[in-house]
Amino acid sequence: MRAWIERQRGLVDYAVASLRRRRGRNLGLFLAYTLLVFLLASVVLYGDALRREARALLADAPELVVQRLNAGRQDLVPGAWLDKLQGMRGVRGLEGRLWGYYYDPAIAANLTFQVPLEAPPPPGQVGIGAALARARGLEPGDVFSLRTYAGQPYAFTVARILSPASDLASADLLLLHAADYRAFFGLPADVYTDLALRVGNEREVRKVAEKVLERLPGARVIARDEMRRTYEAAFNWRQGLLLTLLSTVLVAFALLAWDKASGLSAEERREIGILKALGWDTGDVLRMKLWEGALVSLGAFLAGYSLAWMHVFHADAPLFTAVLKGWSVLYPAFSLRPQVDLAQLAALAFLSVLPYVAATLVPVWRAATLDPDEVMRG
Amino acid sequence: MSDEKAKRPGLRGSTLASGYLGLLSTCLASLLYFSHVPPHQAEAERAHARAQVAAAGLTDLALFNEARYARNGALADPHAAFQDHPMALEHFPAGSLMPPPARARLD
Amino acid sequence: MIELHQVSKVFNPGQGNEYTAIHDVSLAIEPGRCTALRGPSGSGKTTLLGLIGGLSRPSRGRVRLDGRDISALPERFLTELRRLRFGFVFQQFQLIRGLSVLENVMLPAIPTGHPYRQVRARALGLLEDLGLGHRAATETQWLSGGEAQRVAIARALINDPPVILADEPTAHLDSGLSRQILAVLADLGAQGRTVILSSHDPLVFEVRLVERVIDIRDGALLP
Repeated sequence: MRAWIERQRGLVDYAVASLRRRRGRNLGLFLAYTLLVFLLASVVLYGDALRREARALLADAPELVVQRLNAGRQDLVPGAWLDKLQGMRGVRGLEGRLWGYYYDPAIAANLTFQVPLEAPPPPGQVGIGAALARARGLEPGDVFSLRTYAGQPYAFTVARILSPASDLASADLLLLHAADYRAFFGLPADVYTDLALRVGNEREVRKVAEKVLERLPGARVIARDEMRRTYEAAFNWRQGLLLTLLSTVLVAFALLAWDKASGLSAEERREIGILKALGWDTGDVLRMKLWEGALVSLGAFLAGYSLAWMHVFHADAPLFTAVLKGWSVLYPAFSLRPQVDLAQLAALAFLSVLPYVAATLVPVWRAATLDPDEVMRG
Repeated sequence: MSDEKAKRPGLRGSTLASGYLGLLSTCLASLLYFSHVPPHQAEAERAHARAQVAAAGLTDLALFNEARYARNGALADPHAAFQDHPMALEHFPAGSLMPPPARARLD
Repeated sequence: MIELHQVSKVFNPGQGNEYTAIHDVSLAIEPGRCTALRGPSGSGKTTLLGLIGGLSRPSRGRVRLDGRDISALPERFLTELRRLRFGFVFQQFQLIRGLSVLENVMLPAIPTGHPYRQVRARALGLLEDLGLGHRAATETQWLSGGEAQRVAIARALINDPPVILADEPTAHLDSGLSRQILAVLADLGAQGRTVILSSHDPLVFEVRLVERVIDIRDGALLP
């Protein structure tokens, strides 16, 4: 065992000396490699954290949303629909939602008006999202007015500003009382934007959706899972897009690494011949090169992943936010929660370390199996 | 290097290598360890936000609110010529590569 | 005792440039003596030395070391044999550039797994004996020919092998340095090691060192 350790240490000594001798080349490779791992890991870490956050935030959203379509456009839902859906089995809660979009010319941004299902603010008062408060410079107690669709100014008092913790979902939100909502948009008393259904048992969601369609043939039923999948798809393709762009970098690097790692110079071939002639066997030469490759690629992986982690979780990923988060005038300000995913870590390590080591080993193996007497004749 | 220096046992390559890998792994491990939020704690931190989302009855994230297909499928407003914000090319790949114009950005 | 029995070596067999370097050579080399292979360049001295030291395998025939056939040994064992039984001094020195003298000398000891400190002390001792103690930290490309040759000898000795094989040890040296190197080899012989060298340098055969001369020409032994 001791001898084995001494032997490995000796091989590492040689590997380090050999890296040191070509330090320009190896440092360049190390930096390029680190950069690559950094980019890849940043994208993966960011994408995963964003998906995790979205999933967690929407976990308590209504299971089903029922909309009414009119010639392919979403239309207001008559109050009578509420009665038609009364008393369905498996439905825990049924409510008409009132929400809509409002373009605020003052800040050139879209706001989302929403009447909360629970604890709405009193008439005349509103709760607003943090990004909206920032954009309009509002504090609790301030009064501001928006122009209604009828052309009249409509005054609201800011009752509270929503916690930035939920910014991801509430940045552009304006929570108001149902009476204000109807007055502002000029809606009759008995209509809703859509209906929210709460289903007790996750597995009955499909069944309930079918029954809703039986009772209301013109309805469009959207399940929370579909919503979530849409988001995940959006994040996925954004991530995919980045990875696609990165793939050119990846290929370029692979070529570089292949060239640098696999192209044995005459000098290196000669060295391998000398080592073999001096009594190193093929395995020793391979192990030495393995160490050499591992020192470059494992080091680059550790450094790149560390940098990516800091980039994503401590610096809020300045390089990728615009691409990965999405596009809004009122932008949610949020930080992602760091969570260690060992499988993901292992996959990245595997993908970044292994190919490089393999690329270095193949040509060495070919050179190391040659007869050492070339050295005598060389 | 002087003769005397060479005869003293110097820093071995393997010592250097294990120091280098050890330093980097410690760096990564401590980074992960100290900033990792365990799932249950993350859940507790999110609880408030989740409650707010549930109370409002939200089904969407506020990430793409200039792109209707993502946040609010079928709505438009009287000021917009298009359902989407005219500058928001939230279609492959422009929306992902071009930020909003500087004067329209508020954050 | 090293015995060669009807050994032939063919390079590139079956190809257009097939070439027989060694032709049916039988030979016995006694231990503890200094044997020299003499012949003009291209006569097959180097190839024969390689066959004796297990650097290459004969195309036909047998090589025996202390009665044991080594021509059919698996690669691993042959390598181990090379490491522990033979010390090689190559014609072009074959030191590794960019490594220090000390590191070069220690190379053959790495696969043995001997403790680093011991190997290092032994290497420094050998360098000291050869008058190179002050050059231990120098990178080998800055050495003169005579120094490089002595480093190569130190490297050949690091695992304390009973047999030293030296290919044209005086080829790149002037007469003064050649005598120095030959004196070193003579010392090794005096220590009881088997020294086998190849040369066509008359100087080698003038000194007392060589006890037996084997003449070789066109890959065959001359009577």
